[in-house]
Amino acid sequence: MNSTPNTIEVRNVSKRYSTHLAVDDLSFEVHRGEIFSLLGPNGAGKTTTIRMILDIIKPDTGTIRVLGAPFTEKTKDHIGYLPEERGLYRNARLIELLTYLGTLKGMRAADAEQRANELVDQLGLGDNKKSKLGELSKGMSQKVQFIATIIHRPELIIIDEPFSGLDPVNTELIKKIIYDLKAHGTTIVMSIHEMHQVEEMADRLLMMDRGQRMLYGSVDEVRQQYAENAVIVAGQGDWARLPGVASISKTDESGRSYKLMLDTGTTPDQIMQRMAADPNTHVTSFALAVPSLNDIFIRVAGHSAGDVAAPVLAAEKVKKYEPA
Amino acid sequence: MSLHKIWLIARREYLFNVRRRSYLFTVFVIPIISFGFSALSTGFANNQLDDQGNYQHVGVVDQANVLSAIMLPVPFEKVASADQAAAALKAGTLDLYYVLPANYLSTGNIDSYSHASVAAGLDPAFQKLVRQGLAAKLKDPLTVTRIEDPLPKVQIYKPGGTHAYDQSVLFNSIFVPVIFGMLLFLSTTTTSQFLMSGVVEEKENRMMELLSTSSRPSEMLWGKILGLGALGLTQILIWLLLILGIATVTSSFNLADMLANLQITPSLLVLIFAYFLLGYLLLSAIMAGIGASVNAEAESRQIAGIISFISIVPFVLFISFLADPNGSLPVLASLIPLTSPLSMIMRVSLTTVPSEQIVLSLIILAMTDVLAIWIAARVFRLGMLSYGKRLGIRDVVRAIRGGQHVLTTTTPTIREANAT
Repeated sequence: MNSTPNTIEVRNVSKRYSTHLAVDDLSFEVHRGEIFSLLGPNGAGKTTTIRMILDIIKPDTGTIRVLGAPFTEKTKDHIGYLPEERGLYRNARLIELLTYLGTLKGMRAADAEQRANELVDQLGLGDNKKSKLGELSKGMSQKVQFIATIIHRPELIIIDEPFSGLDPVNTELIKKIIYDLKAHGTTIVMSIHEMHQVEEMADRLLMMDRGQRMLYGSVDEVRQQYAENAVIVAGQGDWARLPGVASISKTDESGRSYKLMLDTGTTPDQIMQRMAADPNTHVTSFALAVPSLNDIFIRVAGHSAGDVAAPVLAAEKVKKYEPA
Repeated sequence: MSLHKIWLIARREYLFNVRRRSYLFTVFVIPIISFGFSALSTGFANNQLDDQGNYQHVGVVDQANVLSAIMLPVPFEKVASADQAAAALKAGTLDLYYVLPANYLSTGNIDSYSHASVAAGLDPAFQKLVRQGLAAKLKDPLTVTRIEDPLPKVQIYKPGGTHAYDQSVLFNSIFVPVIFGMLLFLSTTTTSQFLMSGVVEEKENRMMELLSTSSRPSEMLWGKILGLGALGLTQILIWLLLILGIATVTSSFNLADMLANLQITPSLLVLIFAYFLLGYLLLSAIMAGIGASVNAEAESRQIAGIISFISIVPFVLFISFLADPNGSLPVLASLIPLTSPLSMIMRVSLTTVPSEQIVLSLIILAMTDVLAIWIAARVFRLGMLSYGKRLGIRDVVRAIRGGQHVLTTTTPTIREANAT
């Protein structure tokens, strides 16, 4: 449709509901062909932002460009949207409904029906083609909704919580299709709570809190931005006495693993060499302390971390290094 | 607005609802039930009238000497005294007896005795007998015949017209407005309620948000109105075919004759169609607005019930229409938008309505339609995104004035967010 690098451009957008400022001077871009993750605690303004991108509601101030142009009715045909609060006609039949939704997005009926059949087979719903949607299980309906989102081969898909309510097998199935779409150049925006999925899938992310942009950039950039000059070690030794170690703390209750905060002038490499050289020290595990997105999420949105509905990863994610 | 999308939505609404059980029920079962009932009750009534089996021996104690000049046909027989008759009734040789007391001519009192609880005194055969007896006291046989049956054949002419209607025209002038009123009422209420429950369903199951990223609210509204309007027309068409079919089967008849006798002129048909269309548009716009502003099907049904009742008010006032179709109440009812379709069709069938009243009524209705659809589209836009929340009057008013859209994501609601 266009050749601009940005699929979505949000510039200084604000939205106020009576006295509540839902989105506050927000700016970000979503690049063509990437998986972009939208993070934040409940009430951060994610859904409002998505609805403004989709032109369901208008921003009070600021501009939004989608697929290289301001939003028009024609834009709708090139977008697939899976809302968080989703449902389908209970009495409609599977292929019929998907075909209808496809034609509403500008597809020809025959094309829509063929594509509906393909996707239904691909997602393992082939036995339910004639079923009424009300007869399907929750996981099945969710897959149907996902098909409805992508049936018209949109250039941009926006998914609110793609994996909620899905079992691991179906999560992998949907994930594989999302990767396929990305490989074909589709831009994907996901609002998502599962941090490990963000780390695994997303190219870039935007974290919001109270309507404002808290973190923004590539997943690696964000993690490095919050990286500390510290290492995680396990083994035996008097870690606090090592030169260059500023302080130590236990990383878990077993007491076998410690986090060593390093002096500003000391690098992890130097510490590793000193440990190897010290005969009283026996290292079984050595890793850089890179915070997980989850930690960053909680640190940034700390005051409202209690609102986070998703499971919080217990263990600190570490990059493994074999001791030299 | 994209006509293509409206067409797609209309088509979907039509095809989906035409297969619904409740639609098929309204279209086929309700006429069968009502035909069945009327056939049954007619049959029952006829049966009762013809059935002399219960009264094979009916005694008449003629103290007034009214029946002295005529022979009594079976099952009637003269009994000399009330005492004898009472004994015969007790013995079972009489099933029933009448006593015409001596003062019958001046008072009209007649006493009827039987074991049955039915008011046998109303028996038309006995009535005819008494009438014959009274007439026989006169001398002129023709006068006697006329007294027995004073209005056997009345020809009815319209001023300046040459077509002679028979007496069924009296029946038809009531029959037409009632039948067409029923058709109008049933089809507009069923289809507009389908529309409403469809909107409520889309709100309840969150299809709205998905649909709103595929089409405009106004396209959805028009698609639904047109699709379901076609559904209502289908319903009326099926009923008309059923009526014609049954009429053809049960009696040999000529369609043109019947229409002439029913006084259905092409201009009346056009008028009925116009009122169907405009009345349906108004009801469906109101129902769509209700559907979009309530939160649950049950809630919407209550409000819809009230609206449907208002549109059937002309039926309730049927007697006033019959008494004086150009009276102030019928005229008023035929100008007020919700009641005007039924009222005007009833008035036009019963009398000659001044054409300026018809024009005024249509203009008021059409303007109300435009307003109602405009409001419905706005409420629709607002309501379809506010899940789990009933729109208050203030929200609706704000939506109509095009002010700030109060939209909530599911969590937190605005109130909660304000509270924190």
